[in-house]
Amino acid sequence: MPDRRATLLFAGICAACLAGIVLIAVWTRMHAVSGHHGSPSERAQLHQPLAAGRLYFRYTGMGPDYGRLAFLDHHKTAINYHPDLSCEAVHASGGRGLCLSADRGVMTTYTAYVFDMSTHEVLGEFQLSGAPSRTRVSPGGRIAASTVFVTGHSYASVDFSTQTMLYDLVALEPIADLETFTVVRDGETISRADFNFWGVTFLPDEQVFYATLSSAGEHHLVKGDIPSRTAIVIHDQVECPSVSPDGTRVAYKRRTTLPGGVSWDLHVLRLGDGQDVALADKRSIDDQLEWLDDEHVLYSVPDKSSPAVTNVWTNRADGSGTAELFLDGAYSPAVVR
Amino acid sequence: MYQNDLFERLRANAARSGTRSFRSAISPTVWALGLTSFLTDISSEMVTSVLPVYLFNYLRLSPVQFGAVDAVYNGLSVALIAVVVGIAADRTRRYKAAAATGYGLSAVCKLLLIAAGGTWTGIMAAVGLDRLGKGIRTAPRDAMISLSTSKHDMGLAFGVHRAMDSAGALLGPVVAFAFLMVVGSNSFSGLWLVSFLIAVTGLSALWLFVPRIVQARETADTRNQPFISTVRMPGFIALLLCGTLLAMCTVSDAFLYVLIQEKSNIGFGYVPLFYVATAATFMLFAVSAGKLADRFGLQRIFIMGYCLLVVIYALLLSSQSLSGVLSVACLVMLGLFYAATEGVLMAMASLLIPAGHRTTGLALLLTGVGLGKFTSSLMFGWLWQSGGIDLALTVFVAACVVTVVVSHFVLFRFRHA
Repeated sequence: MPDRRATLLFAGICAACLAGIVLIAVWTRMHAVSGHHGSPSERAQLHQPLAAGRLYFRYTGMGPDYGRLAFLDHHKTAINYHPDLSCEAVHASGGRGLCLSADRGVMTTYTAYVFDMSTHEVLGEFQLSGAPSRTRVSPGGRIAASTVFVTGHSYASVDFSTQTMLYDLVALEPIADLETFTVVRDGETISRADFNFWGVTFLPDEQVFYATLSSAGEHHLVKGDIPSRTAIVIHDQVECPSVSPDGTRVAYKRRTTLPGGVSWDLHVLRLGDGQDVALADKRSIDDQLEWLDDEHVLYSVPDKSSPAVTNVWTNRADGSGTAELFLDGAYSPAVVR
Repeated sequence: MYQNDLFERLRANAARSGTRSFRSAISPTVWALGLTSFLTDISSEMVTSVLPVYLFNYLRLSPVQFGAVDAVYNGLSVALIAVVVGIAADRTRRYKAAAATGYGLSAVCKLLLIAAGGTWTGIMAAVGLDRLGKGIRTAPRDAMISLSTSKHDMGLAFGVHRAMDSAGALLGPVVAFAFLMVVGSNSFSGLWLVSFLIAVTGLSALWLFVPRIVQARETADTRNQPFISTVRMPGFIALLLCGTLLAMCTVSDAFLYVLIQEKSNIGFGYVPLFYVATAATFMLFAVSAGKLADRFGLQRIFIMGYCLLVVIYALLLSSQSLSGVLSVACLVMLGLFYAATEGVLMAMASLLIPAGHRTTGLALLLTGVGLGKFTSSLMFGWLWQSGGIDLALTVFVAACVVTVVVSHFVLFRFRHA
């Protein structure tokens, strides 16, 4: 039997630790609440006038509103929040939006919510099979895509596998998993077990899209056709494409593998003649770009203070100029024209 | 129905043959180590369960960075440093100090996690050191369990310890979830601090309740024998080889859960419940399995555990889709497999290794099993990717059957060595 002194001491330590836990809980809660009474829009500050109709984003400023779905309207500076939704990634166009959210708990589940831009009403939802990464809504608001990371599908958990789904936002039904598409390269159908798709971007006709196909360490740009369920490999070394509003160019990130990890440079590819320019930003950027207009792109970069806080930057799409801060405390910008 | 029945019978059995011998069989040291593991597992599982969300949704690490952190988390437990610590612990007989070093290191890592802030290299260092702590503490702890237990109760003692250990592992995610729900879902620094405090209570349980010098119950002091004589003992070599080979034929839980989820069409979000079902079964049956092992032979129960594993693989291979009942049956069998093998393996090893080299021998075995598991994951993933899931399962079923049959004969041959 343990002696009395040891038992008492142990009880004392447990009581002290329990008190500590309660203190931590109370302090953290108070801290969060006091942040609420400050000015909530302090972090999310617009550095340039907004020419677009509306800008949706995930708010990443510290405090109780962290992660909420936010938006800014044309010529206004005050941030509005969606009454209900928090998003890991968001995109909106043509009156509808898709918000990929994480419902944390003992089991973290992931759901994609379809919302109406004018009424904020949640129109429908889709279950996601992993942690959200990218999403895009087609220009007319009829179709959307989501990319999530599905863990455990690859050896020793070192590699990750993705799942990219297409949804019909009018019928509120899934259309297809991109891995069911027929992939064609140089006129021949190819198929491999390690195919992964991510980063869909839609053309205005809402039938055709671009996306990344990764296989055996290579990253290809594919052009997909929804009615025929086919995807044709059209270019190499393209990740997370984003097609320009006029449909002539694709902004993307290009991977460089370094000894210490991976670095991504931003590029714009002209689809007609294959001309490629690097954007004027030396940082490594892991994002799917968004076009502000036909001459400018937007992308998120982690803040120096904490990687949980991100800021949105803007840059010229022709490789000239420099990156400029566009909006503080924001991630996953979606420009609604 | 049949599981319930079995459970009821085992419980009734435990109650009948139980209480008196139970008290005398389990030494205070084993209870104290169980308490330490219970608290430590709450602390570490609350971090483990939240870490993916933290890295992915909060810090927004890229998959490559996430993969690196995950690889460190799963890979470093195969640390040969455990063997070095084991030798030192055996030489000085300061098992408690060796275990405390490991527990302490893991506790400090919770603070490092706060200090790392958002830098992923910092997180990787913290996570790596935490695993190192686990690698260091396991062998001296199991050595203390075995040294303070009579050889007739070895299975039971390890069963009791593992039951307490897995109870902590079950509670960890609940504590983490409750904290985040009460305090706010982004209060990760607070959560790491809570985890640290719980780790401190675990460490203090070790410090206050485990005697500084663990007296070996019956084996003679073999400290002066050269270690190499233990390593050369045919019985130990046989167990080391069997343990390692069996670990190589064991498909990692992550793969099994994905397979069960896909074949049963249960929503992806429920996969964490699979873990709960397995761990709960492990917890409930660890003691009974240990008792049965003491009565009918450790080897017999150990081999039966692996037979259950073969049944699971065969079920997954033969059925295109799993019904809900069969999925639950698979998870329960997986839990029973752990109950019948996890502690029992260490109990078997403890009976084979002389007291003076107990920690070193156990550390070697743990390293072998760790390497076996790592190889298994690589092989299974590679087979799955290159030849499809049916090929991967077929190869593993075949390898598992052969190894189980061979192990059966080998382990019985050397049981009295």
